[in-house]
Amino acid sequence: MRIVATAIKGLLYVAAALALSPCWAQADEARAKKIVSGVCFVCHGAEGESASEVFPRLAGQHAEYIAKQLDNFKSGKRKSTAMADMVAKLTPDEMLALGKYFEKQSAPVEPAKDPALAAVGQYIYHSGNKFSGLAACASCHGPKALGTVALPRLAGQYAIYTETQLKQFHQRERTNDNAVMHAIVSKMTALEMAAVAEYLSSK
Amino acid sequence: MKKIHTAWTLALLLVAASASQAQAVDPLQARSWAAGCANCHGTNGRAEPGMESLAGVSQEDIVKKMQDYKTGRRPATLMHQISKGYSDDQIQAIAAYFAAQKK
Amino acid sequence: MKRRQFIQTASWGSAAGVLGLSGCATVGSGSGPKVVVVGGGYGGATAAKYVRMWSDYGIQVTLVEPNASFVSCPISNLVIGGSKTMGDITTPYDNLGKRHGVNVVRGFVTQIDAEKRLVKLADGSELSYDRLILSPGVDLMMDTLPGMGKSGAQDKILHAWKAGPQTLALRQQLEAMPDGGVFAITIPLAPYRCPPGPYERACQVANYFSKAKPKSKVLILDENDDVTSKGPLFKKAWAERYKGIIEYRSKHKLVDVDAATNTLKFEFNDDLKANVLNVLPMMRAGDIAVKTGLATANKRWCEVDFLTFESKAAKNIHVLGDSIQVAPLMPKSGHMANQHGKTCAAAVVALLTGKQVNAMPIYNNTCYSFVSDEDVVHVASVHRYDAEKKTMLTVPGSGGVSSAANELEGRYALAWARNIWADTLA
Repeated sequence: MRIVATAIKGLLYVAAALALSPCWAQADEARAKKIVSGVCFVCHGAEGESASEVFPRLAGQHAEYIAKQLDNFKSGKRKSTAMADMVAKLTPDEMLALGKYFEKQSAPVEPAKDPALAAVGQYIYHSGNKFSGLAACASCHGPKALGTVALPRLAGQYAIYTETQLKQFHQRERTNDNAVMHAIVSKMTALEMAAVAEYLSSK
Repeated sequence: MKKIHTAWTLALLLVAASASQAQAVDPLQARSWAAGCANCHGTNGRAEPGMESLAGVSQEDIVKKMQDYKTGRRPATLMHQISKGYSDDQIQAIAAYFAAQKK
Repeated sequence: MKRRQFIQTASWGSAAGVLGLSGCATVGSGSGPKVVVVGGGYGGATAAKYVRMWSDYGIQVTLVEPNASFVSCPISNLVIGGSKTMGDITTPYDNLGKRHGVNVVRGFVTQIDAEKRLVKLADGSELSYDRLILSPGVDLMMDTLPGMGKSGAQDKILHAWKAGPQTLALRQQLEAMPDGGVFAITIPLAPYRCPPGPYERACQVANYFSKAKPKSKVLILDENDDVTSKGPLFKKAWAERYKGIIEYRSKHKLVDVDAATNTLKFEFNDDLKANVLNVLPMMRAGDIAVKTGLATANKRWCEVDFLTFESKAAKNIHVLGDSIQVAPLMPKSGHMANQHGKTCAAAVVALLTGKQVNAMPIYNNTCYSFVSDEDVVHVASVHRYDAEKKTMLTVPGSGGVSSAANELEGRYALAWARNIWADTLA
């Protein structure tokens, strides 16, 4: 009886979710748009395109990754004086809505400013550095640098931002998602960080 | 005689060079200039919640941010408008003041 | 030393001893130079705190203020709009005494003897000074409107242009107004205290009406030719958010008010009746400054030396904030008064300790205006001393306004409030 009851409960939930999801999706998107156009747009752009290399692009980033970063900013797990104030009032639903909104956006990618450096980065990204024991970034972040549900998309991100994050992983100033990345980055030279960042910005 | 003459010339040149480079700002003047930021960033740069503190932030970081605001590289709601009112020397002096404040 | 003052000083001295003020010279210890500050607003309170801080607590400072607590005019429009409370805009004066050893005297200054360097209070006591800092705000010239002189008129027709009981009273008038009623606000010819203030108030009232009394109207009767601050941004907000509620009429010079019938009378336009009237009359420097003969510009505003804020009409008396004859494009704002306070404090400390006065003051102003309870527009400017013209001029290429109203600036506006209140009073 219990199994049946649980199964029926489960089905009801699924049915409810399916029935409500288009409404939810619309409400979500409207809510996300309001937040973005009210607060996020100044630094990240109205569609997450971020007109300035000082602030990271969010367009095309995985929804769950964005939601997790927002949550980490709020809890302080990821330290950022600027972002902590921005996310203080966001609910988990809003964080996911924002993630979904940005995931749907796309931003134009510009060719690398330094193609030779980008070429070095391409090699490192796909093949790592067997001489130093550095694993290929592609092995986790994917051959197209699109990431996964659990790992960020790197393709198209501003070189300066990517490079800064790598440096911060190294110094442990990037206080979340640090376990694997710290170990990886400790094997990277300054040249390799700059090169990989340059390559990814044009992908 | 020749050696002493050369040494003095060198010394004078060095002094002249450093004097022209480091336009020593009166520290009290820098303190007054920096006080103009307190309305948003708190007395002595120690901000109340909701605004970034400047106290104890490195001079380099503050100068870089202000320059980024000035050039438009860093978008802002109003810091780009405020930063353009201050000269580079003033920004250096104000940043040095905040860097020396207790967090 | 007058006997009363000696007793006052001695009791403060022992009180300070009991409180164990650390890091500050004991209040009223009788040795260092003395500064008296009149007015505990954005200008005076800031000046009092900074004279103490920047003299390493060696200069005695007495602040005379009639109100029990500091109530902020900025953000008070949100109390009128209903999204904030009086508590949100009220800060006690305690910390000026506790943390900085300012002798805060709750009193009212009735006379200044510039020759003897004495300040006389309503309770008969006197304070002597080496330097006097006056920051008395504005005097609302109700006598320019004959009808406002009638008995009871000023209790019914409010200005709420000095935050406090009138702020709450105006809110209550709006709450009591029936749906379909009219709120009318009149604006005098510039310069007046807080250029964007009346337009922000109109937005706040319209915002309240749009939710609670949707058939009601907000009428702005402006003596000026056009909106005096952030015009395009306010007009956009009115058109997009409060269409059918706000009506703006320029070039309306108010000449009288009939409180009994709630009628506004204008120089050239027809009389107007409204359910709730909010009258902002012509303004001038605070009464004590005018009485002391310091209002040298049109008998309304006090001319000062912009390096020290010393009055051009009297030695050893400095004037700050809304009371002064402003420099070009310098607004009469709380933010600006706070900047005056700090500039003056630095100068007074220098003058009293034989040091150089800063020859290049530079400071900024930011005015945030709430067009709804969340969305804000700003205007910012940077002012720098010009040695040739001997005044403050805006720095070319700097300053500006918001490109559009947004919620992010709303957050910054509230953070600004928290920070400036702390800078002024904590």
